[in-house]
Amino acid sequence: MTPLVVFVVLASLVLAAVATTTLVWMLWAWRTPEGFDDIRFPATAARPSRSFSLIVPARHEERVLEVTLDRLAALRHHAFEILVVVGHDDPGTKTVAEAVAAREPHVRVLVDHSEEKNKPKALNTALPACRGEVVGVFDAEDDVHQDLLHRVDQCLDATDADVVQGGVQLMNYRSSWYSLRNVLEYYFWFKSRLHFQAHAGFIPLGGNTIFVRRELIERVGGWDPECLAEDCDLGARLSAEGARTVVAYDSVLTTREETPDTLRGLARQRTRWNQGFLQVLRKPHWRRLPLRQRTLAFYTLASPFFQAFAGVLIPISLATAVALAVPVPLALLSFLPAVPLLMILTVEGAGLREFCREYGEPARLRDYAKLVLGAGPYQLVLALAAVRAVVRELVGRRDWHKTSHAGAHLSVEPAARAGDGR
Amino acid sequence: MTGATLERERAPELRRAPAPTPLPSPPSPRRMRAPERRRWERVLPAGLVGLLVGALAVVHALGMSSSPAWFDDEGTYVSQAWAVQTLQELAPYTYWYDHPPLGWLLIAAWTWPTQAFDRTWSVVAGRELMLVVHVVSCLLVYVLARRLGLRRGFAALAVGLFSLSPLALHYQRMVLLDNIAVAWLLAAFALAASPSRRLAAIAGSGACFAAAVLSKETTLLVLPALLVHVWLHADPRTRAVCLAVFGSLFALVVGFYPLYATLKGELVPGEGHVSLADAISFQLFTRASSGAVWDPGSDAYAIVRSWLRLDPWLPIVGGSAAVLLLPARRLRGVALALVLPAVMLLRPGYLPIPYVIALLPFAALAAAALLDRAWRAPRLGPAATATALVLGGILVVPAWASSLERRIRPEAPSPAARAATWAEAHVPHRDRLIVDNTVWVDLVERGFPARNVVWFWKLDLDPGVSDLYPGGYRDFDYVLSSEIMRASEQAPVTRRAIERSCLVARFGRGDTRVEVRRIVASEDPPARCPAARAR
Repeated sequence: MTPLVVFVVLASLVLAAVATTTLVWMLWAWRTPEGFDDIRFPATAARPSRSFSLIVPARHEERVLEVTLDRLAALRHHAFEILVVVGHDDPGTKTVAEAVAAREPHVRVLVDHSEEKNKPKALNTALPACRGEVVGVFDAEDDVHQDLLHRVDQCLDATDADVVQGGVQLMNYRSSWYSLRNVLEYYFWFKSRLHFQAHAGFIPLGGNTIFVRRELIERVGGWDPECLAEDCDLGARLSAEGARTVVAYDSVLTTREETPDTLRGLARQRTRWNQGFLQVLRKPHWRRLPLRQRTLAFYTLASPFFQAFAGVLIPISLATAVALAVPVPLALLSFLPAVPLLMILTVEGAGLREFCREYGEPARLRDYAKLVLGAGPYQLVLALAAVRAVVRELVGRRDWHKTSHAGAHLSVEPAARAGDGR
Repeated sequence: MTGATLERERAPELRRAPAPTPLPSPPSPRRMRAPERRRWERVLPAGLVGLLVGALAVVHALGMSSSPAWFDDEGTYVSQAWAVQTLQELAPYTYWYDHPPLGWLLIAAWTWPTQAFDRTWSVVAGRELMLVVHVVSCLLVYVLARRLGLRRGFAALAVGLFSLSPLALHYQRMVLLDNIAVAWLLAAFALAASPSRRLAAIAGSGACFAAAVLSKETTLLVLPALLVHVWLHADPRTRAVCLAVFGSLFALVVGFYPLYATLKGELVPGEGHVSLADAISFQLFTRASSGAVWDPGSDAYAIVRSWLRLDPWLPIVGGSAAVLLLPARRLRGVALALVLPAVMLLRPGYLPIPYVIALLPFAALAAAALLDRAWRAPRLGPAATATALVLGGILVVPAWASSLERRIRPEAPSPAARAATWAEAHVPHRDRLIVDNTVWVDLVERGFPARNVVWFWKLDLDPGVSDLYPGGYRDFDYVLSSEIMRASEQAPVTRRAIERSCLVARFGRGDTRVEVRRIVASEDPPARCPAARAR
């Protein structure tokens, strides 16, 4: 009986700890009313003074690229350029990009000639050609607000930051059951969790709407061409350099994206991210941080795995405790992780309501039902992606599965973006 | 290259930047930090409050071991704490989900480290914890009053009213779950009124309220008032998330109680075991009603009259103040915490005597808050309030002072204690006794095996116990009869034991006397056993 007792006690405490940290960091934005206001872009009267180079890597994006580039070219800022990077083996996208470049003076097209294509290689192709003070990254399907650059510039002024991470928000929460959960994941990540990470000194950056001083990014040597999560890796290296990061989430100014259009696509995307986190974990940069940040770094980089397994292990350990008739106090302890888990579900419900209020579409009972019923299956998908990532990393497979984009979000309320970035 | 170079590059098709977007209004400025106050300005009020609470603690401590008289329920909770400590069980007999166990778990958390059962009588050990709980409750009343915006003097007045009312001196000394629940409840209200409106504080409030409900389930009645309080004190920006955290943490912590019942297989009624569902339905439906409050013949009427006999002022003034304060946003939650249970009193149903305990702090807060508001009234405010205070003092202080003086006067040890001491010396330890719970633990600690000392209710109400004694009262040798044992009509076995017994020793006088009686076989026992002496 004793090994079982030890297992149940340890598993319960560890799982409860993992779930509790997830819950607490998810709630960071709401910790005080003043803190809630601070997550937005600061309001200053500073005149924008910097120049921006915006890199847009595009691969097989014929359907969405033109709209995106047109929107980017219409950004309301006095000094920026757009560098589109296309692969040498991708004539379709190249044609679209060159057509836009012909009519938009801000836009230039660069060609990536690497053998095996991936995003960091595309970014590194563009970096030497950047002329602005600040380098920004956008994805080919991003729906960007016109005032974003203006506000980022002011933010850099007001906070004297090295890095600004703007908000990214998936919008198509009604497409499917998993898209709802995916949307909420992004909501809590960019609205709350990333602010905590920036405050705590270790931040895995997002893949787009990220702005870094060019001098800094050149100093750290650009992006890692072999890493599957190049954004996380950049964030880790910049954190190790002591770079000051500011995260700003303003619902009007978020960059809007879409969820992967199939569940398989989502799983592949997660596998890639998880494997990328694992790669960053194996690299030495985060170990140079002081102890507290280092602990946070380890926990953050390993967290996809903790969370994925926690989500699956908890019901298993509960069932074990009940079925094997352990003593009642022990069985009660094994239910301890259920408290933060169910609180997370409740907070996600409140988050859904807040999200729908901020973005103007009311939440329906059906949406809440999808949220609750989809929780278990979604955890399972994430857990499988985590397992798959570990296997692939051990076996050494690092090919890049690109997520395909259908532009589902672009049809959602484009008129809503016409307002200015108040 | 700089931005200027970029501009030149595109000069031919120079895109004139449109007018910069008008700036949004800045978010509300951070609250200006209050200028650093001199150290003594912070320490002095805290010191004065400490002195006040210390004085009140002394008042509550003097004479607490025997005044008010020991009551059977106190013995029940203390014996359950003893069972937690000694038997690692929730009760010495079968735990039948009459109340959630957090209250006596807390008592055990006091008695175990302090070895209270070795030091003193069991009921006194429990009353020691009640003193600690009272000190904590006084501090919480002060904190809550300050957070509701009362000036320091009126906050102190609230504490004084809460602690010195004769109702308080009577009920707060007794080992009752309500006192523990009220402390948790006050913590919940105080945390929810956090001036910084931290999410962590509101989460803590939910957890404290769960602890209150798990100490005494009737605290659930106050839930609507607390929800209103949390709602009104939360900032609109974070309110939805705060409520989600509050509600979910509360529900999940309370949920461990039915979960415990489920894991023991005792959730739903079934053959041969107690169940939580049975206990709930008993409390809500089948329990004998106390009648309607306004019916002069009913138990409920008698109970309310006994409360008002002890102190009419705090309930009436506090109740009226609460009604008057309902329109005030900040105070509405606290006012409802008094008004809602008071309205529920009107409902016919079982009325527990300690019901008044949960009303006292809110009555004190309402009365002090009303006076505070009156003080703030323009021009005549302070004068009118001072007059009201003086008049109130003249009316109230004599009655309260005489009650206080009765309570703190050192009294002879309780009759039950003396009976137990005598029994330890003169009754063979292998004999079987029927007792009430006030001395059950004490007799067991003094060498009577637990199976030989039976709590009188169990002989009639618990088949698990009565089956062990098929001969009924004849299986017992002695009965220590107390007021409740003589008065109970639902304990026929005990009644017969008392009737078929002769007096061996008597302690105390009148209704509160405790008699040691030897049970004899004959139908017509002598009034006094041979060689008996009265004390």
